[in-house]
Amino acid sequence: MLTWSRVLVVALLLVALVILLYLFNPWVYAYKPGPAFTIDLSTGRPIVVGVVECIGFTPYSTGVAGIRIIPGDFVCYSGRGDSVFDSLRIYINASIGYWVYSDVALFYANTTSVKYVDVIVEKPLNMTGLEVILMDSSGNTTLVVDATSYNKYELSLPQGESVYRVTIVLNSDKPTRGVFRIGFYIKNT
Amino acid sequence: MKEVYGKGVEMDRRLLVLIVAAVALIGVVNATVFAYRWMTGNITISDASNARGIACTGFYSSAAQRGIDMPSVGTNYNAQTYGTNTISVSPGNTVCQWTVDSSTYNLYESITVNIPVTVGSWYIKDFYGFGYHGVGTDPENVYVWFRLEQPASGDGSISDAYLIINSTGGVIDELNLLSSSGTTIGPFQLSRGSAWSLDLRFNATSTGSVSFTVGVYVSYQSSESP
Repeated sequence: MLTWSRVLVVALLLVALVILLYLFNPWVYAYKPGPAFTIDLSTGRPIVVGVVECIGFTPYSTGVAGIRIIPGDFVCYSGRGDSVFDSLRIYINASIGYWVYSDVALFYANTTSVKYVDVIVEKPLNMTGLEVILMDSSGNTTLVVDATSYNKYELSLPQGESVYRVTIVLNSDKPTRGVFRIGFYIKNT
Repeated sequence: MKEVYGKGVEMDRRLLVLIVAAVALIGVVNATVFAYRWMTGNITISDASNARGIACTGFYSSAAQRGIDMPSVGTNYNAQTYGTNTISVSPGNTVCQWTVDSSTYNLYESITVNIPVTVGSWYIKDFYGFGYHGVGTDPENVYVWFRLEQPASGDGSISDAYLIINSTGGVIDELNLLSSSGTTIGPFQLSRGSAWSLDLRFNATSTGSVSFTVGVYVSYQSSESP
């Protein structure tokens, strides 16, 4: 006989089962390879150190005129000891024409296995041209993200350390103002 | 009484189905966990009359814009070549604009040049100019590179093609338009208020049209080439 209490028991059992599955899911477990915590002296907040996986951005040349870059939250340190951040906010002031902002940031990755990254233009900006280009350390173009429309790309990160230089190319034939957003979804498969 | 109880069973089953569906959904969502990184950009593009510094460099012809307060270059932008044929230059977008005594002057980001010639060797002198118009607060000097984006090619064949950049003091450098794509010359220092004139030298061995693209990169620094 089906009663409220029995339904509740079944539901609780299922929820418990899912929580157990989540906890012991080897996929999730593999993603957090035994982090060690320490306290960041400047902020007093606990930060994760010793994590092998480190993927994010490093602002590179912030002294270029007309561009300002504000990093988001700290996630880890690169092999050179630079801070790697989870996000970048980029402010560009330009006038009509074609502009190349070379090497404004680094996209840094240090992984224990090959990783695939879905690079998705989540909010495009309608202008004549707007490209975010990732170049590898030997100067070869790895990925060209067209941020003028909704686009999706896949980037594969090799095992170990890889560093990509971020260049922004923009072109506008009329005054404009707007925001674009590009998401990097790192898959663990 | 029994009917009421039956209704209750119906509701419980529906609830159970809902819970199972919700739990199944949690299971599905669980399978797609990503580490997420992002970048956002706030871009503000102002119009050409607000251009400053390296934005206020570009192509112009003092002959096409009479009275421009810049050096006299580009005097042959509409010169006659053979017969009644003339050179034609179509400027692209205006990147810098200013007004002197109610006259408006422009610098252009690009030019498209059409030069009708016959077979033989030609030297096209001062077909257009490239200059830096800055205001008082702009940097004294900027640095310019010329880069061959697309080598000269087309249905006409040419054995020799050079773009020559001249200052008032003479030839600064030549860019071989038949070299490989990406060939770059520079940096050349360009001071505020000054300009270069552009010449073209080539040899055509058969009739037809030839096209090439040269990119001009301007920067505040001279250390890194584009």
